Parts: sequence; C-alpha cells; structure tokens
Amino acid sequence: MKKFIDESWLVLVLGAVFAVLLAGAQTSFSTRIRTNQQRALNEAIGEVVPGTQRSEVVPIEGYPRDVFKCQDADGRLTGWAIDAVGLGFADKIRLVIGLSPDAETITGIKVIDNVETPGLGNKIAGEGEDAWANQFRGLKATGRVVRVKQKARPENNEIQAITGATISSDAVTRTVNEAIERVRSKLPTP
Amino acid sequence: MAAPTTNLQQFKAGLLDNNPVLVQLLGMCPTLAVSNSVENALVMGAAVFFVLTMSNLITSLLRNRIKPHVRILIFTLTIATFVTIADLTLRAYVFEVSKKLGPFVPLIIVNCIIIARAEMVAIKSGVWRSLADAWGCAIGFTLALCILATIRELLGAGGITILRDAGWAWHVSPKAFEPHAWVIMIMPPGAFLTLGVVIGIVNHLRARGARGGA
Repeated sequence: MKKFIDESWLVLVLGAVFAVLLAGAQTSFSTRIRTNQQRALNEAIGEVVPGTQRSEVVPIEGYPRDVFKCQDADGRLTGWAIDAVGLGFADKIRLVIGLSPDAETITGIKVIDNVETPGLGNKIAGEGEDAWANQFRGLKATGRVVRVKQKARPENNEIQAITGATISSDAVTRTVNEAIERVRSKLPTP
Repeated sequence: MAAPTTNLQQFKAGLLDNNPVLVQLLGMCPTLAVSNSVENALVMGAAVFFVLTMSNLITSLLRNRIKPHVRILIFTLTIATFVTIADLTLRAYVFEVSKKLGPFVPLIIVNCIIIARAEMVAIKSGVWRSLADAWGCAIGFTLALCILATIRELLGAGGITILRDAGWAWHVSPKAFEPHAWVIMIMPPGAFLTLGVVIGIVNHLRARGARGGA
C-alpha cells in the first residue's frame, strides 16, 4: 500500500485538483453557454418555421424535450417547432423540426448540435441553397421519412443519404421520425 | 541548427527554425482542418496557446516530482483538463466559432505538439525556459495556421472575414473577385495543396539559408 501511494500520489493529487478546477469552470460558464444555446435554438426555430416572430413552450405529455408553438407578430399560428435529440455516428445530434400549423407537413429541419465527421457527416448541418437538410422541407409529417441511397429522384417522403455518411443521415431521419411520432398527435388543437 | 541556450533563443526557435507545423511537421490534422479561415485559425491558435502554456508551466513546476513511468499519464491528465477549460471558455464567449471548430478543440488533447513539448522541454527545464518554449511554439503554430488560412480564404472565399459574435466583420478584397474564387481552396484538397506548397517553400528557404551560412 505504501509503495502504491509512493508511486502514484502525484497522479491522485493532480486528479483531485483538476477535478475541482473543472467543476469550477463548468459552473462559471454554464449560464453563458446555456444562453448561447438558447439563442441558437431560437434562431433555428425562426428558420424552420418561416414567419415566426415569437414562440412559447407547450408541454407535451411523454416527450421530455421542448415543443414550441410559433406565432407571428399578430399572434397567428405559423407552425410548431420540436427540439429533438438522437444518437449520431459520433455523439448526440440535436436538431429542430418545423411543422406546418396543421402539423401535416414538415416545414424544415435544422441541425444545431453535432460532432459528426467533418466533411462527411457534418454535411447534415450544412447551410445554403443546396443544403442537405433542405430535402426535408415539404415532406409529409403524417408518415415516416425514408432514407434512400443512390436514387436518382427520391419520391414521396424519401430523402437521399449523404454519400459516405449513411449513418449520420440515418440518425437524422430516425430522430425526425421518432420526434414527430411522439409529438404530433399530442399537439394542442389551434 | 544549434541547440538554443538562452530563453529568447528557445522562444525564437519555436517561431521559425523549429516551427512545430512547418518544420517539425506535428499537429498536421488540425492544421489542415482549421486553416480554412483566418478566424478559425486565430481562435484555434489562442486555444493552443493557453493549453501549451498551462501544460508546460505545470509540467515544469512539478518536474522533480513526476516519476518517469507515470509521466505520460500526468501529461495527458494536465492537457485534458486545460483543453476542457478552453473548450468551455470558447463555447461561452465565441459560440459560433466554437461550433465551426467542432471536434477539433477537444482534439487538441491529442495534438502531438503539446505532449512533445512537455516531453522534450518542460520535464527537464526551468519555468521560464519552458514558458519561452510554449509561447514560441504556440505563436509559431498560430503563424503557420494563419499563413495557410490567409492563402486559402483569400483564394477560396474571395476575402477575409473575421466576424465576431458581436457582429463585427472585416472584409478585405472587392466583391468583384468572388466569382473567380477557387472554392476548392477552402475544401480538404485545397488544404493539402496549400500545406504542401508552403512546406516546400519553407524547406527551400531553409536549405538556402544553410548553404549561405555554412
């Protein structure tokens, strides 16, 4: 026992000291980080549900994450936004799903948190006119979205996987499907 | 290249003669990935500066107490702690950039430059020597990244944008250039091409310097 302590006391002490240091850093930064993440979430809601000026959380039974009722400046319903998390290739993927006011159509999705492989999997979060996630716009929320590979023209509720990133593409599709399934039927009637 | 004898020489060595990226050829992965824009390069450089400083400082302060057979463990423990702190800081203060850097900030933990400097310098040198080395290597790393990033961003995106979360942007180069931009420069092939050319030029200059000095 003495030999063990003799060999490793520094490792143990450093471990304890660094643990305290990390706990301190985590506590002091967590509020700012959460504010940043909230801002990113609000921006994402504005993107996936066009015309949204404000949103409020509506509690959905059996769904642990936030679901938002989105309204424009006059209080008219512009749609719904669902905060969803799923397991990707590397780690968790967090995304926001936009639904039309009648919850029949997906108005868009946006991946707001991911650590997928740069250049391959992280194309799920790509932006711009030919963003991969744009495929989800206009799909039906009434049935499942299906991921296909190497199909020239994806049709009715199919989306094309990213070449070389099938697992990431599947993760997003699965997360979208599961979230919509759990939330859609429980949305309050507008 | 003579071994540095003073602290100042140690510092300068990290900048040029012993530049971790362009001469020692360490830390290639983040170099390739993060040099697609000057902003990314600067933030990455700042993170590495912080981690390298703390790692060298702590290793040097404890150098007489670190038993040889646990030294790698202790290096990794120290580096991992400070990278995590750096990552939290970036996520708190420059959230957008930290998202763009993605997994590469946590990957600083396995960046060879940091553990190499701990092993080669900090474990056997005094505090000031170790700090001089840390600062030289960190600034050298940032310099190399910025050289690559400037080339890649100018040619690939038509201008340099250093955009802060506060909404401050600095655009160089007229918009007219943009249709002529080589998009490949900001993608992975551009990284390899630029790095290869820059290392080639550096090697040529060093060889010429060696011939001239001999």
